[in-house]
Amino acid sequence: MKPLLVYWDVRGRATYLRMILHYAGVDFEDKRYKFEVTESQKAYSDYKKWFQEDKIKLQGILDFPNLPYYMDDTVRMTQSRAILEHLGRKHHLDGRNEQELFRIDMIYDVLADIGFILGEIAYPPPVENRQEIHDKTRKAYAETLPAQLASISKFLGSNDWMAGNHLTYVDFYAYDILDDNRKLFDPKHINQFPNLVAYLRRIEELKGVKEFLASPAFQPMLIMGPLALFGGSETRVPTE
Amino acid sequence: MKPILGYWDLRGRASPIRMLLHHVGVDFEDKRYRDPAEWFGKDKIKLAKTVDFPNLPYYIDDEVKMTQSRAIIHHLGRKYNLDGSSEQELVRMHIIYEQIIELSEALMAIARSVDVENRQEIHDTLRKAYLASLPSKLEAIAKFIGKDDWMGGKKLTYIDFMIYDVLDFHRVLFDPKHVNEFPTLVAYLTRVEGLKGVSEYLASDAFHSLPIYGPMGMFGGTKDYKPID
Repeated sequence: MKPLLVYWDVRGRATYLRMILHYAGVDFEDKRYKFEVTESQKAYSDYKKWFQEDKIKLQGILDFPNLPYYMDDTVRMTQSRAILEHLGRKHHLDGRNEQELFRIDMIYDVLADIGFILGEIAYPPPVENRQEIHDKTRKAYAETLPAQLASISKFLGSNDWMAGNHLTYVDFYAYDILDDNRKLFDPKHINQFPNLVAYLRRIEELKGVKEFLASPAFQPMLIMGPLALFGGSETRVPTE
Repeated sequence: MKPILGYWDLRGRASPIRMLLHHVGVDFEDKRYRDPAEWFGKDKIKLAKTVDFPNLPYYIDDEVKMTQSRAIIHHLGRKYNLDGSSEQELVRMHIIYEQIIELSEALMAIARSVDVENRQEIHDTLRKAYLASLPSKLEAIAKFIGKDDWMGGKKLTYIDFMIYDVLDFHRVLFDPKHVNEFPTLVAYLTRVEGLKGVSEYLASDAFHSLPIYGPMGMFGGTKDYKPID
């Protein structure tokens, strides 16, 4: 079967999976559930189809039906980072020795923590003052961003890739998280670090990735879903 | 040198690592920071000279100096032959790990003290919603284990220590009945607790089920926290 990747029609947790598949030259189906925001800014068209029909149909096929999911001739799985690691092993984009393996793991943990925090900022708790909470947490994060990027820059050092000399699956994850930060916050923070800027450009130039990023399928600004308090629309809101 | 694991004096992100080290019988220093000044004012600054992300937990031995809890336990898993060997095992391990991380992150959000006046309201709202969703989540995990002994399948791996911890958090932070509904989960937790080295550690003075989080958190941050729903 043609490998199948299924997710919402945004970047979210699927970008690095789409990138690694394009890089590996896999002819896959990039299936997307579309968002269609109504006047009341609430329900989406495919939303009901996913939650009320398709997700239920996948019980018994997937252990934890969720988006994204990935299926090919050998696996049926969920959890974006688990899928990324699987594709990394499958397409020879994993660490090759102990040093590379724990470098990959260390940056992966740092990236996962950032991803978690960005999600928290984007989707504050369902209380009346959620905008206030969003503004506070966003501001607090922006203040830590320069130091956070400084340590990632130091970790990368003069290496071409996060693991060292070889491109690995974690580079696609790093690209996505760093680019999220460039889009959600002032790009000046990243631009302070020439090695990070060069690193992002290096990934953007990879065959397969370059074409994908230039295509309408990428949607650079649609990082979160439409209900997020930031990152959910095509228009960049130029505040910190 | 004797390996050293450094962390706060709580379970947090270090407990699974401590359990793994006890199981494989490593004689290590289980260093616990009780005074923030000792970490922030002294050791963190020292560690920053040799490690790119000076953080807690850290793990230092003759071969490595590392931080990031998952990186540390994965490294130890490879070192002590507690990693998956087949693709099928690895896929299973990583799926359940990510699934557990979703629970862990939700718990952290409930524990977090947000810097607004209605922080108690936020905590109560999140906690209530989480408890409503918990039974189906635990059921799916119980079903996933199925008839296997361990999360990867037939073999104990480093992932089992991480899964144990988060599942056990649910028995300590909330009414244990939620977890106890599922004999498969109870059997799994008991199996991990019965591991050589682990059972001795859990019975010792060095192990405390609480606190899980820091004292500034909204729950689970003190030794005498009582589980309620």
